[in-house]
Amino acid sequence: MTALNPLKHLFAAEPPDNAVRYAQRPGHVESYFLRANHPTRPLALWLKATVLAPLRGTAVAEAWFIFFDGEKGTTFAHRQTEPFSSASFLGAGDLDLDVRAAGLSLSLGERGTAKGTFTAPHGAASVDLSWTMDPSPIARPLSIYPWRLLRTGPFPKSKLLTPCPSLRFSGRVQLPGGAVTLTDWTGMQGHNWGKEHAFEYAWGQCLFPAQDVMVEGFSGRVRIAGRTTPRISALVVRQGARTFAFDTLFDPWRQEAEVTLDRWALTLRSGDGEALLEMDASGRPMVCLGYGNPNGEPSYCFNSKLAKVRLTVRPADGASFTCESPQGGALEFLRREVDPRFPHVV
Amino acid sequence: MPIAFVETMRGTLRDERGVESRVDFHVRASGGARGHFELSGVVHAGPWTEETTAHGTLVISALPASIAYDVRFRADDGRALRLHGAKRPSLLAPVRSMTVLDVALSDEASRALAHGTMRFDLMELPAFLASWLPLPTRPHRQLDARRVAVARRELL
Repeated sequence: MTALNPLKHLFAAEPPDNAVRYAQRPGHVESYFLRANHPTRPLALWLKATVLAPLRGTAVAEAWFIFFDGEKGTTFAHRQTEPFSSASFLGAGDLDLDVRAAGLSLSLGERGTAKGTFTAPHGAASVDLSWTMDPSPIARPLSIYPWRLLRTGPFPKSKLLTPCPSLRFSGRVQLPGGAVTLTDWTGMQGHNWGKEHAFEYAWGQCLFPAQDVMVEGFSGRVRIAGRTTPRISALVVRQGARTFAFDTLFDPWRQEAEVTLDRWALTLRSGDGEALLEMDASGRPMVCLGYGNPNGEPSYCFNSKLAKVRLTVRPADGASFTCESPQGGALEFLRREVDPRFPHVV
Repeated sequence: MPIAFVETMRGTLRDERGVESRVDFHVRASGGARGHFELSGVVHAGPWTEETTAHGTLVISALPASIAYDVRFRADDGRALRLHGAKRPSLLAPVRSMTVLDVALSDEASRALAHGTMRFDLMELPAFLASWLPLPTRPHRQLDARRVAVARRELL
């Protein structure tokens, strides 16, 4: 039976996108996150609920909150932690999941809600949101990993899905400086899990509602047998009902990725054509988040939701198109080192 | 019987200020009589044009051995530009000499605007070889669709 275990990944039914993968065993980290951007102003919100089950020690649940204000150049960020035994992650199938974690309540799905209170030394914030799924085909659940085995098998150790790539948010956020009303903010919901965070990555997602286009991708390195791989990149672009996939992953001859402290540029080619993506968070509000890994090693996520984005796609069988967003890009960098520009780690 | 194949070359151009830009062309070469082919396709040429239709010639000579490209297109500012260069096939470096193309970009008055190098991606060799078949293979269909879409957009 042991020899057949690796095959279970091929034959077992794949769980629903938002189903909890945490099996109450040590060595697991799992997150559900939402982000919402004002349609025209540089304002954005990011919420996340996390399970961290270390290899040694008690599992915890965490809730994260960041509000990005590009007009004032400020952020309000806080993390709250409680024992996992006090939290609950209950799935009802398909995309539906109810999460209660460290002061944050999420009812995930095509229609959902988020409520929570965050009490930080520098002030308190609360959130009361609801959302609906964008009716466009770009809002269909998305997996950047092209093969099922990458999502269900032992490699890579960190997984990602985007159950809801395009959502419409409304509600209210209360900050120390005042309240912000959300009306038709655009965003998405993601789900990550695995035995550890990737060694290093740049991840980005952006919506271009006027052109009915969505893009999501990453460039990352993982560790195999103690060695770090070269950078591996993938990108998916949706234009209405059409998908352009640049997700061959192990094709270094058709990938060029440039990652700096604040900027990510990616050129990829596939049978669908060519894609050129630039995401730039230089000079934009960014927060450094301290992520724990189950093995105790820290990772640092440099998180911006106000990146400038330019995407050009040259379809193999059609005219090219270019999309630009002055401040709507969700851009995150994960690294193993702190950045002296960020003395405060959330 | 006329011959036709589809080829894609990609590279960079450096202008007189030293600024580098990406350039690529995707063309069908058809004809073949006495080594002379007509080119038609699509070109992307950095700041001169994001994307436009292109036409031109490809001439294969035996002595001296050369494959000369002359790809002509109209820049976004209306100028007629030429992207031209030649491969020099050599038995001493067969792969490099057949896949690397040094090019120049010139205007109507033959003033050089930029120089650069373009390369054939060997990962696309199967599609290139398939395009030689006397059939409407995928590379031909894709190039036709692309060229029509770009031409249509230019008309609009």
